[in-house]
Amino acid sequence: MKKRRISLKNTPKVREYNQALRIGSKIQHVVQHNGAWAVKRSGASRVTKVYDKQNTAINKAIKIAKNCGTSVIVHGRDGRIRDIRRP
Amino acid sequence: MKSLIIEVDAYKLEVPGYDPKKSWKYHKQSAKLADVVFKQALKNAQYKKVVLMCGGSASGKSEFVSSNLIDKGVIVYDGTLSSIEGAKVKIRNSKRKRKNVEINAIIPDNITKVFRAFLARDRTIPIDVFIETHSLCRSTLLWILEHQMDIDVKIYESSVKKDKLRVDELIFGDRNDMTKYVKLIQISKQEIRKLIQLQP
Repeated sequence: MKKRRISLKNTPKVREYNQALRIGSKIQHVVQHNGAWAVKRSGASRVTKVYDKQNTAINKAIKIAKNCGTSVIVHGRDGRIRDIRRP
Repeated sequence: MKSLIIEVDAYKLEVPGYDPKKSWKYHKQSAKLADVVFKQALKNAQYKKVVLMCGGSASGKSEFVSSNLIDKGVIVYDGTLSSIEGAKVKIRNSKRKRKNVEINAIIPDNITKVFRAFLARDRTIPIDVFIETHSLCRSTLLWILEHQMDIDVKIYESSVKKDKLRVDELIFGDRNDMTKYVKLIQISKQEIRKLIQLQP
């Protein structure tokens, strides 16, 4: 099997898709962190902030996600996705 | 000549009482409207060829169409082709009107990356729709390769490089090679569910 590169024109749809990819990299995660709950951006090495309660962390993450136009992924204690919130 | 693009999602706006926040609820109705327009389009003798798009949500189908098929003078049905029955009907109707049918499948190299675009863009569509379309469109593609030998199939791979969509055409020695590849990329809904377990 060979691959042949297709050059995509810069149409509004292509621009919109690329913008969604950029926004998608700002997805906010709510994860367990040292016995508490933290908000963490996709790909970030450090957490944004730590909260005692998961609910507080979710609300904070939703606020950030709303500003970035992205989504919140809530992870359970085992690290698996428990819920996806799209404000 | 400009192509005639029939984009299933675009017909949601035509459904009476359409609510963009619950857009997935209008999918069946918009698909029906798109099918009516498709049937009408097939009557147009100017167009000799029909391209049926095949691929899961946010795989880059509409982007590819807007960039590379818009000026080809063909009828493009821009849907996911996630049902074998739907594909059968569209192929049969196109053949009846003596059109050449070609399938253009867009397969992402990494479902997780595409899922990120889906989360950011298709904000009102349930995750299950993403999972279902990515799994079922591959089964339909395999069915076409095995049962519709006279239908041309082109497979493109979509990928993300530096937050930009990239598309490559996959070129196979023959149809058998293509079929073997499509057999290999079959994926169940459960497997997709595991793949999209995004980690922070």
